[in-house]
Amino acid sequence: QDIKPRLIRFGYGLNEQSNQGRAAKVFADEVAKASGGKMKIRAIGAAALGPDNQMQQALIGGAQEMMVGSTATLVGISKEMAIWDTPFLFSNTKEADAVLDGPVGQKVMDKLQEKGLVGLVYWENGFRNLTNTKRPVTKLEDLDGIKLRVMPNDVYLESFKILGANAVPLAFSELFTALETKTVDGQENPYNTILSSKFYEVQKYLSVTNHVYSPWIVTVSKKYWDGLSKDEQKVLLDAAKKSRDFERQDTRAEAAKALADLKSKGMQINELTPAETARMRDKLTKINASIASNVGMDLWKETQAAVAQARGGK
Amino acid sequence: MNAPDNTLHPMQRIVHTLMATCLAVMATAVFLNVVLRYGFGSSVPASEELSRLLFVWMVFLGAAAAYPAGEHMAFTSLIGLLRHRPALFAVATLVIRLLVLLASVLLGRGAWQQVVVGMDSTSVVLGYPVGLLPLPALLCAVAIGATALWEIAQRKPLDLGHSAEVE
Amino acid sequence: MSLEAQAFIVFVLGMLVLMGIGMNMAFALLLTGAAMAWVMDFWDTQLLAQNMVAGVDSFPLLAVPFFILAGELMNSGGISRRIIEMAQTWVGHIRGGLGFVAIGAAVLMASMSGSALADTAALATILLPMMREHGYPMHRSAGLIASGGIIAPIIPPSMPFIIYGVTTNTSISALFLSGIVPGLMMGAALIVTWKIVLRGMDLQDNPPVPMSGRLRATGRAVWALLMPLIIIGGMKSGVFTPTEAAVVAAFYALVVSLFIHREMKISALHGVLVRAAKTTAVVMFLCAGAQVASYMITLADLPGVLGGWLGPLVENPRLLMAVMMIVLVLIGTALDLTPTILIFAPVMLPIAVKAGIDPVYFGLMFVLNGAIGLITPPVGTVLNVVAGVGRLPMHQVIKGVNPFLLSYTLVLALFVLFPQIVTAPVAWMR
Ligand code: NA
Ligand code: NA
Repeated sequence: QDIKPRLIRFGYGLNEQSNQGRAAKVFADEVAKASGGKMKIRAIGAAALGPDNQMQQALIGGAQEMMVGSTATLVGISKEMAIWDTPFLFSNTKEADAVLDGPVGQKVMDKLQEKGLVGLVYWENGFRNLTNTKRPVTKLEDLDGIKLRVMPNDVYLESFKILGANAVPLAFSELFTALETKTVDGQENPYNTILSSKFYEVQKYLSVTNHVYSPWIVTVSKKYWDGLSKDEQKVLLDAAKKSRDFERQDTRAEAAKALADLKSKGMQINELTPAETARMRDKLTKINASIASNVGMDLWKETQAAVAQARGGK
Repeated sequence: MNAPDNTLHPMQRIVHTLMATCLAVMATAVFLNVVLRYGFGSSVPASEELSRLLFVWMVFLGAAAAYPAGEHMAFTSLIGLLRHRPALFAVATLVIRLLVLLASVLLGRGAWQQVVVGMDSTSVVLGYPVGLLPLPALLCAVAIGATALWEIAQRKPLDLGHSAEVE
Repeated sequence: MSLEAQAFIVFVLGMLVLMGIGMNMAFALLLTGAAMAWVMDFWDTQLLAQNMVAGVDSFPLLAVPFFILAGELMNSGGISRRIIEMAQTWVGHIRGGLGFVAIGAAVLMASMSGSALADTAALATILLPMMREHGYPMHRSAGLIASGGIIAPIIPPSMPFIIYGVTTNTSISALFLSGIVPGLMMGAALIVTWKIVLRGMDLQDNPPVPMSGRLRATGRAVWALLMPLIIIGGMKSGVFTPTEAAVVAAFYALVVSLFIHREMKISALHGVLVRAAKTTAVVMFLCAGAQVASYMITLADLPGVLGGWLGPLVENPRLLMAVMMIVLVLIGTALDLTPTILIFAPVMLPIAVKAGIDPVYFGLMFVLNGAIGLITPPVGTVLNVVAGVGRLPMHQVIKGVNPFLLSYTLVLALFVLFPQIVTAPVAWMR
């Protein structure tokens, strides 16, 4: 086997104790095992190497070797990544896994290569859900007039505006204070984030909207990747796949536990009926059209077909 | 503190006007969002991104302008003691300037690489090329590096009197 | 020796040597960070440039230029002057009254401005000539005004709290709240000290101002007095975030200066903007350089290394706090508040947290200690301002500030012994 001693810096945003940190450790262990200890992953969490966009630029420039981060922050680098921002694209994790690990997911990932990044696998951040202080959101009309913090991103802003909320962009660092002082009424994030950021202290209602599925993506600097031997590349890819399987299982178990915790912390939790979800989805055709034109009609159609296949094949 | 504007080099006057404009636009953009959100329940999503970009430009332009005026924060008590030993003082001055030159070269090189890398990516909301963020750092490094070289060549005495108003 | 320990030695040497020879601090921090990257095998110039930019590219830090701008506008538009005039009508006639005017005005202005230097400059410009005229000993008057000026970064809004909050990821609104009671206590400490040093002064007193005159002066200051209510009220009620509060304060000061007091012409705005932008650039360039060093500090886990060496101290939070306060006092003699925060907060806070010290309480103590450093020799920027404005020799100002420095040290010690004085009001207000 053609494997040299290597030190690989792998950056991520959450802390060591998070699902991201645990999966990074699994990845590091797998790489060490498969390379006979020659390739060392130095996993550095808590955004110590900077926020996602900073790490991405470092990877492209070859100043850092690997990272895992949100696909949404890659949209500025590779516009096809915007496909994963589509609201209500997946209705469950089974569909998400099938599409992300299938040819469509690979195609989107491969587009990164032109920009100096190599995508290996998708991890799961999770379905985003909505919390607020005003009322349980059980139907479309309940969103009316809720001042909702969304990620500073046109798709999310427009989507929630169309659904009737007053969508407000705000930095995540200011979010807790803004919720506490009621500068905004609500926000939307996966369960794990709602729990770890203590939003339950300042939010009453949690509505299980599953309105968008957020993946994370493991990437390598292309400059670095091209200097690796085939064997070394295989070590990284195989370990990434193992870390992916572990991460998804771990994240899902944690999300279930987080939901239970949020309930025990006193949040009032309600689900959305499939009929209401469909009403929301139908309202967003304009958004879908603009995403389709951004990522290209071919990719959009392939994605829809892949989702339909996953949905039919259950 | 502030020299009257008519004694300034035209280049400095341009930089000052650019900085003032950056600050005015930043303040207006952030204020507008408060008014829109509180008064009308809406907002301009570009406000945050725009004001952060202008902030970075204002700071690095200002840092470049502050260098020749000796306005950067420095701990000069110790070197001040050497003032009456001209030979030693000249050596220390040269060492400081060579170190400033080194720092400018490192910063400038890194900023240049990041400008090149960033030209291929766009920001999330406004869609400006991400290379615009490190660009002012590059300009600043070039300006300070060139000034330091000139100071070395001219053997300009080190200015210990100035200290900027901070805190 | 481990890489981390090597990085630690490089950090200490870099700081001492590069800063010691008088290099500008931003570049000294950049080069120190670069040297640490070298020994840790993390060398890449892109990382240096990226972190310089990242140190500035932050939305909460926008509050820094906005609060500086608000302070400039307050001084140009007559807001500071009206506050001082109002305080004068109420307490100017009692013995040593101008001193009490200075203290009262310092506390009021602290609740509007976030910068010790701007407040000190305004107080010294207006009050020092009056105090000289009325036979006040100049060194004491200058010492009092310098001491009053450093209340500004403690009572919200505060620029150092913002920088501390961003550097260490601590809630800025919690830090703001934590400063209210200690800031008022600093004012009380100054009153007591001033009363003591008053004895033996031969002063020429002012006649009391009749009630109608007091009300008139208060009426003229009403727009100024509304400012802290808007800032704190707006933040507490959620109309705006702390960052936005800064911009609201600036616009409020602008409108009052231009249209209500009419003391500023619109043509003066350019100069005000340039001054605020220049001041900001110098502070933030330092933040940029510090980001390079702090990136490397995090990677080398310096807090962990240092915490390991401190060992048993970590088990006794109060003793640890006392030791860290003494270290900070020593640092404060030579270093200004902003660089102290940028360089030492990321190293010290994790150790404090590990010992179970509340991060908001620690932030307050850190900033309070650093603010006191602004009036300790040999390097005390606030002392420079007073000496400059009052045309006094530095050794006189240093002599005059001593009793107030002593009283502040006692306040600081009180907070070390009884952290509840700081933490209880914060818990109650939140
Ligand atoms: Na203040
Ligand atoms: Na000092």
